[in-house]
Amino acid sequence: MFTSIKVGIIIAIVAAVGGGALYVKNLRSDLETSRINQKLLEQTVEEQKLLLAVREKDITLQKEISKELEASRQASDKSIADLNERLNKVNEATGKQRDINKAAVRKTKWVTKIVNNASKNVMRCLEIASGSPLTPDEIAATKKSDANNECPDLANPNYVPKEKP
Amino acid sequence: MRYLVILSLVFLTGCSMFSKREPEIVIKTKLVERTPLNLEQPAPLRLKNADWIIVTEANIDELINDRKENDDDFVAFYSLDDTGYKTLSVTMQQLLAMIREQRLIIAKYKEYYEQTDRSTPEEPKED
Repeated sequence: MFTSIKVGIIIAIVAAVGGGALYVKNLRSDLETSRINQKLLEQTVEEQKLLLAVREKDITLQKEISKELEASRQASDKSIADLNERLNKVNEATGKQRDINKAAVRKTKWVTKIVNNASKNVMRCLEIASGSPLTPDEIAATKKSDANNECPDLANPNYVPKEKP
Repeated sequence: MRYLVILSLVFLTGCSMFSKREPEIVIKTKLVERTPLNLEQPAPLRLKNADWIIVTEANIDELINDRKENDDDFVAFYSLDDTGYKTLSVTMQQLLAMIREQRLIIAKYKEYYEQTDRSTPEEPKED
């Protein structure tokens, strides 16, 4: 009788100890999993932070590029407006639009020379815009008489046109 | 009784004491950079210039006679009036602006997508 009780008690103790050991083992395993998860989460947060920083950098670069493009568009619009103004210049004294026909009839050779020079300059502007390298003369030009007046910003990097009053 | 003790221990621990641990699966993501598209720029334009001639009532006969080698030669001028000339001038400027802008856009696309330094200045240092 007592032997059976003893054995029962021993089994109960062994079961309790075994169960406890298993419980602790599971706890340790869960803890390890949690640690790994925590580390993974921390890594993910760091990666996300990096990704955000790269995104921010990209956005800054995009803004810079947009600004440059906008400046280029404005310069182009200005050159077209300047040309229109030159071609349709209004005489301040009379208020009348300049008649280029009048000048062409009166000073035919002179106007022909101007027209041909302008045409030659525009052709050169198109060449430069398409990737043609600048000539030493174009680079060295600092005076209006030496510059390509159709696209000085493109053809003559050392020529600064005077601002109109 | 002894068997009972052993059996109960086996039931308690299950088969965990005999089981082999599963190897840890490590997933590594590797970013493979795209091969850059290196297209050559087209060759720059080499344009031939055409001479403009201003034809007026005063010089038209002289211009025709200058171009006539024989009396039966036909001479024609392909002309523009002042409005046409102005329009053509502005059109050329618009073409120039378009070429410049397109080249700039291509250059900026290249710069943006081929930027080598995509790291950040605040990148955390590893200890």
